[in-house]
Amino acid sequence: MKKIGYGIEYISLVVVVIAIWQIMNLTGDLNPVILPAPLKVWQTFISLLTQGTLLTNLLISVSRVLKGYVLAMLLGLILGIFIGLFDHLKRITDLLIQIIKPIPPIAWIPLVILWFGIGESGKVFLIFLGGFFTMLVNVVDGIRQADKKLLEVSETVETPFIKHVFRVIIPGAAPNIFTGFRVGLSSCWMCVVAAELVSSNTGLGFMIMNARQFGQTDVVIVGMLIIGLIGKIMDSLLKLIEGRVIKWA
Amino acid sequence: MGVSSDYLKITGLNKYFEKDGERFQVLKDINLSVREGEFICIVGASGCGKSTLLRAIAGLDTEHEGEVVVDGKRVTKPEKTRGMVFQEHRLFPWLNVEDNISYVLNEGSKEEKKKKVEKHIELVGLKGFEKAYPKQLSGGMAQRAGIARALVNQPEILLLDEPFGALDAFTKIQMQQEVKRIHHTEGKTMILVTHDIDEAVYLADRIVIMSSRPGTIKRVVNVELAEPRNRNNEEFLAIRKLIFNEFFAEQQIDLDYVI
Repeated sequence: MKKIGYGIEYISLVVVVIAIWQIMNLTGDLNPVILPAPLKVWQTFISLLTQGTLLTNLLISVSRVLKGYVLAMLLGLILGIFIGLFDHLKRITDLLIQIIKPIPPIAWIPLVILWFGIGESGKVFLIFLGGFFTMLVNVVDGIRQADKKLLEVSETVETPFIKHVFRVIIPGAAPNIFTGFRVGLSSCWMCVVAAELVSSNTGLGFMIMNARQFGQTDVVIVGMLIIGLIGKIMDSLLKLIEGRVIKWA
Repeated sequence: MGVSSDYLKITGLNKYFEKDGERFQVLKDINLSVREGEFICIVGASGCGKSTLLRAIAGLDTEHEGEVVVDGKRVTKPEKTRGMVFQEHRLFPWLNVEDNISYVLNEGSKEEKKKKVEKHIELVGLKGFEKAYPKQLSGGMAQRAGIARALVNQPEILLLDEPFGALDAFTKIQMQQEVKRIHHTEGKTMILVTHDIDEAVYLADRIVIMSSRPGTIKRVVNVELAEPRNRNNEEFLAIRKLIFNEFFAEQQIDLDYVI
């Protein structure tokens, strides 16, 4: 019974928002061109789904995000471990990272077009930028915040450095690393629209921008909601993996 | 050879800490010799520097004047010949009991490691809990695992830093008996830091009494009690009282002065 109650709470706000949205459309308070009714959005969703355009674009976007994300994850993890372990490296790299990190990926677009042209690699690079710094910083912090008391145990028994890193430092940093992975994935996913602004004719970002030109607000909203929904699903998946990996916490 | 009385030798140890730009002395002129196989308890009020002294012996803290020499060799860094048990169990939360213990073994085949781990799990009475994770263990059990981990490397000296300080009274007594038994069976030199006078009298061959600010050795008391020790017999209580007075007689004088 309790679980059902929690489930109702979980979806209640979404239901209320949709209901108000629909009612305002019915009473004529909303201009359907500016904000089409949820029912209309649903119909558009179904038709885009049956036409196959939605799925094709979705798959293209997801594969771009995954490429950029995996690249950012690997590089963030490896560099983060090194920077986290060695104080000199931390001091040397800190300023550069702090300056580049706040630059939003959109601001990179002109340079990216210049460097990579309008092909796939530029888009993947933008998505990479979206997730890389978040993950890097989280890995570095995780390693530097390792429990000194546990490190001391490892030191007292003359543990070889590599073993010390892989069996004490990295597991100790794992919760932070996973937080980085999750935040990183959501930033990568958020960058997909920006990346597909780089002269694309496929992907969800393209679908949204294209629909805008034709005044198809319903398609824009379908695209937006799909991005949100997929983002939520990917985060939940990572959370599930985290629970499996960090089973000691 | 007759050198065994200097198996562990601390000479002229002075240690300073810096706080807010001010330097103050934590340990002052510590001199102590320990025989091989001896059980030493260092007793003192909190903040007297007893843990700092133990860390110096462990080699975890080497910035001090004077030296610590073990078996003719000066201590400059932590070594696995000196096992350490901390007040918190300090088990790695991501490893189960078995893996926590075998983690500290860096040499030998898998088989050898397994055998050693098994033997030490049995020694501390944790059989059946090999696969348990630290969060599933009670405080006493976790501390047992910590002791097994410190012993599995076959250290020559076992250093224990208030190992039972966080345990409840019953578990504590049980653990003291356990450590006593391990001392008998393994015959290792043990140095245990505590603020529990009973614990010291129960366990030690010699009790080192420290006074605070700066930490100095005030007195060393020989405990020549028959085994097994009975916490309620007269001789036990006499030594207990003697040590108690070392700490609290001073305060009475202070009070007289104030009045």
